[in-house]
Amino acid sequence: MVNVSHSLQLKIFRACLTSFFLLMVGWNACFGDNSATPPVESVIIPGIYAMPKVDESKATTVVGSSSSKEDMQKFLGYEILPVRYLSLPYDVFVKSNVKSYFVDVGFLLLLFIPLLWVLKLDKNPIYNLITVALLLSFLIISVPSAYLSIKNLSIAEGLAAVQSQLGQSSFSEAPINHLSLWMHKIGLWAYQPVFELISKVSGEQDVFTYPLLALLFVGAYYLLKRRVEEQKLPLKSLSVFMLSYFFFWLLLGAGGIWYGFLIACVTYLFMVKGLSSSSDKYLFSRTIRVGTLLSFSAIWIFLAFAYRAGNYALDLREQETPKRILIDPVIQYQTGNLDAATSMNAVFPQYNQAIQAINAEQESLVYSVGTFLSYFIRKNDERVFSDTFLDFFPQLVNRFKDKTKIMQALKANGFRFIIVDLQLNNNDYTAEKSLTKKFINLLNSLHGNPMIELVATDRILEVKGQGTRFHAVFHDQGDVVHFGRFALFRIK
Amino acid sequence: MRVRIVKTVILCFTVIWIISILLGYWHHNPGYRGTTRHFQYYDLWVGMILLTTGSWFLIRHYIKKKRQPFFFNGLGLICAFILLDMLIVALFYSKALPGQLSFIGLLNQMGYVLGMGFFTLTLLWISFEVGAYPMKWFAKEIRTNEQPILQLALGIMALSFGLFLLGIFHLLKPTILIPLLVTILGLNHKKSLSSLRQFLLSPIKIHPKINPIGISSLLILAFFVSLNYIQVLWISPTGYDSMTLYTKLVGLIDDHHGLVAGHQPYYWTLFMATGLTVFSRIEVVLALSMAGGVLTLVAFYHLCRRWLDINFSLLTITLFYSLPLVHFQSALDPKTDLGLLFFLVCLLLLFCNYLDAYGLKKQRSKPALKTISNWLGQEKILVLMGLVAGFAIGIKMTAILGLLALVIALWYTNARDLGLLGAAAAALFTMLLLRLDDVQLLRQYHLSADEMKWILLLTSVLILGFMANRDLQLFKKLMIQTSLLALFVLVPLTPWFIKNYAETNSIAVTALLNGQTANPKLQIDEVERIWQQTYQNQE
Repeated sequence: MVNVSHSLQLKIFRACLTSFFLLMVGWNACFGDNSATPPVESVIIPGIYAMPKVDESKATTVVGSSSSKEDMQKFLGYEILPVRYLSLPYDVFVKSNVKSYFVDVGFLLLLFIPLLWVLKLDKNPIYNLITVALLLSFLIISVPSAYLSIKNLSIAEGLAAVQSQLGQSSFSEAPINHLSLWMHKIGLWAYQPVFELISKVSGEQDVFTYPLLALLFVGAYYLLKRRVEEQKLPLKSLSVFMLSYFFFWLLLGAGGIWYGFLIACVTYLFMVKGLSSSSDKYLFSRTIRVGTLLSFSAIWIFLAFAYRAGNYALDLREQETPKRILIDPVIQYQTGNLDAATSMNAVFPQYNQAIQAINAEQESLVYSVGTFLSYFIRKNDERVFSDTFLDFFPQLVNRFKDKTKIMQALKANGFRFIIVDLQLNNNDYTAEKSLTKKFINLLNSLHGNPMIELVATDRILEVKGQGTRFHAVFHDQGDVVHFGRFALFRIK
Repeated sequence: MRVRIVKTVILCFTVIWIISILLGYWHHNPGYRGTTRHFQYYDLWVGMILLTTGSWFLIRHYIKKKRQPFFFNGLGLICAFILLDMLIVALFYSKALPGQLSFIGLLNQMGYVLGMGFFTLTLLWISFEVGAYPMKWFAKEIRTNEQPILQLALGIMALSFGLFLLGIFHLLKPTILIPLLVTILGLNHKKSLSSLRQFLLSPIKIHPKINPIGISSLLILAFFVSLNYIQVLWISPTGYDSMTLYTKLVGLIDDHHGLVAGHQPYYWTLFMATGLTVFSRIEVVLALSMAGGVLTLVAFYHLCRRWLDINFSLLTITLFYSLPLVHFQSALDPKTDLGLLFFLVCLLLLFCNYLDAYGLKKQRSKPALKTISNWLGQEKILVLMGLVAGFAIGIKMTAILGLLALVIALWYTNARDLGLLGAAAAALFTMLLLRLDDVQLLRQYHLSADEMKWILLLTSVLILGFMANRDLQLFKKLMIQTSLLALFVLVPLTPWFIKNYAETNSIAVTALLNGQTANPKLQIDEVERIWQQTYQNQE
């Protein structure tokens, strides 16, 4: 075996990287197809709701069906393709793509696992520096892209937004906020050239990302191998298992953390093992590492409990909410303060009225646009047609072009009920607001349609100036007091 | 000098990294800011600190005296759980609904929680007893302290498989299931009663090295588990996915007394459905879903104990269980992911046992392989890993990630770098060939996927060919082991493929995986044709 020096290895590695990049640029130029496909023009049903205004320059070309993008890929994000994958660990752990608590896996793993790769000194410290460089690149890509993707901003707009936010308060008034904004500002400056470089070889689609990720896997394995060199085989094999698992989750999971649940579980073992290790090769002593682990663990557990006690409210203003670590009607049912029916009605207001109507006609079909109600429908496996992300409804609109005819067509095909999730558009994270547009088209098809009647809804409106409250759906009938979750219509 | 520079760079980087991650988290998670600002449960935290201190002194007392406290057993744990449960409910009422909790109400709640707990534990106990039969065959290959949790996993697998068979003939009825489950317990009643006695009355040995880190972790864990358990028990699921898929499917299984057309394989859902079929309580279904998380804790604890002491092991599992994601799936939207996670952690435990055996086998000379059973006997642990991986895929297809990673780790264990690279290239090729990336509709973004597929195949063939040339014996062994693993992965999945084939009459991968649901299907041309027929005839 020829003994190759480390500097030569590095040169070879660098040369490989450069040639790989050039190859990809060439390949993309020859075989890449980044031409934009014009969106299918759909019929717009006029009604009370206006289509959302979208800055078309920011809207990306919809590749494939729009529902796939709205439903599955919101967790992955909608950035330029390689950035979607490269920033995914950051996006998942800081929850920048989807902010809901049901994808919250805390910050400890992101904080410590990469640090553990760096803090243990390698026999050849140059590998520590390579790891530092890679992690800094990760930060430069992830931090700004997370900031920009929430509001779908360009880098220039992002910089302007940060500047404007900085001007709104002084450092002494909001020191952490200022630090955060400065971090994003520096990140955006650093990200600009990187983004321009990547934009040259990539877009919504590319030829570049899969090979790049495969190369990164090999690189990560090489660094991991050096990192666990002194460990016994079981730990080495387990770390190879987790690295491979992580890699396949990155490729196949579309950012859904529950698809990679094992990462959020077993990686804690590596974190605690590294921080409590008695090895003297770490930059910090065991006492400092264990102290850090315990302090951050205590902070995390307190935060996790407090967040839970606040019912995971995104923006908590009321002092009342953090008291409810349990759901009132659930615990009141358990203690016998509420009977089953009252308790159910408290959690699902008005559901009973809707379900009674649907279950009274056991042969009628139900057109369901989202909502939880199908759970209560008898023979729901035979009666319910589910169009959760409105894949099919636009086809009806395009074919029949008239809201009465749409309902006639549904009725002719055996449908008697339409259930609508009133908050469907809240799931729309796309730049082009495709789901919102489809949802508005649906609402306009239902509004003022002589072929349908409202059976039940938990939305409450109030007549302007009169204070009379009633259950209805459309805003022209009054002001919304309680937004509600569902509406059930019967086709007459 | 060079080392000093590197150390300085690392130090600076550490500061930048910590600040960036914490500020990023702070920026993107305003919810934490509001809830901590208005936090109402400081008294609970003070109580926890006092309880930790008290427990620490009590445990030290018993350790010093070398005595075992009489209440340190399963029954004592159940009593402690009841106390904790009452404390949580009383605390909740005192803050959120003051003056509305009566003593009778508290007793009602306790009875409800205990009743559902009894039903849930009964089903787990039966599963444990079922698992005793296959465990006899595998016991020698597995560490003694890991056997009970793996026995339970095997029992759930066997029971679910039995439920599948009954489901084919629509026999999932209480009149059939209850006698069957009682018979299972009765067949080996001495052993069943002995394991129950052991669970309830055998003393739990106090670890002499447990310290306040371990004790406080255990208390926090108990608190979180109790909280999740209280919250999940209700007459209906409350989460969206649960209501539109997982628990809905349970309801359909109960309605049909058997398998439901369509859907990806759903072993864990079949297992959960026993709660509704046997006890007619949806609460037991929800509790079984949540039990997946608790079982994961036990399996994960055993995994941690291989590398960590008792205190850090308890801390590790507590950190995992404190995640909002886990709470969501345990208490708010019970699904099958926690059940799946349990089986994936069990797979890792088995893999660790394989690694133990691998270390020993290297020192032993190889016996002659005369018969298939002799050969299978040597590879028992691989057979079991295949079955568990197959069952996990039978819970949710995403477990395939675990299988791919397992194959790579297996090749790495035996053949290091070359094994890893060859297996990784082959696994990636398989992924692209089967279009696994298309399940989430991601393939459309990657224009080089088809070319890359063949490049990966070539790479894999070259690397593995080189490996075979260097050590043909090892290559053969690994090929046989991988084939064996793949074969036994297919065992739990084949019944689902047959079911789905019967529904679709197609051998396309998506048809075999998903089957065909009975839901109405709409084609726009057909919709228009029927509309024209109906309304033009009327006109």
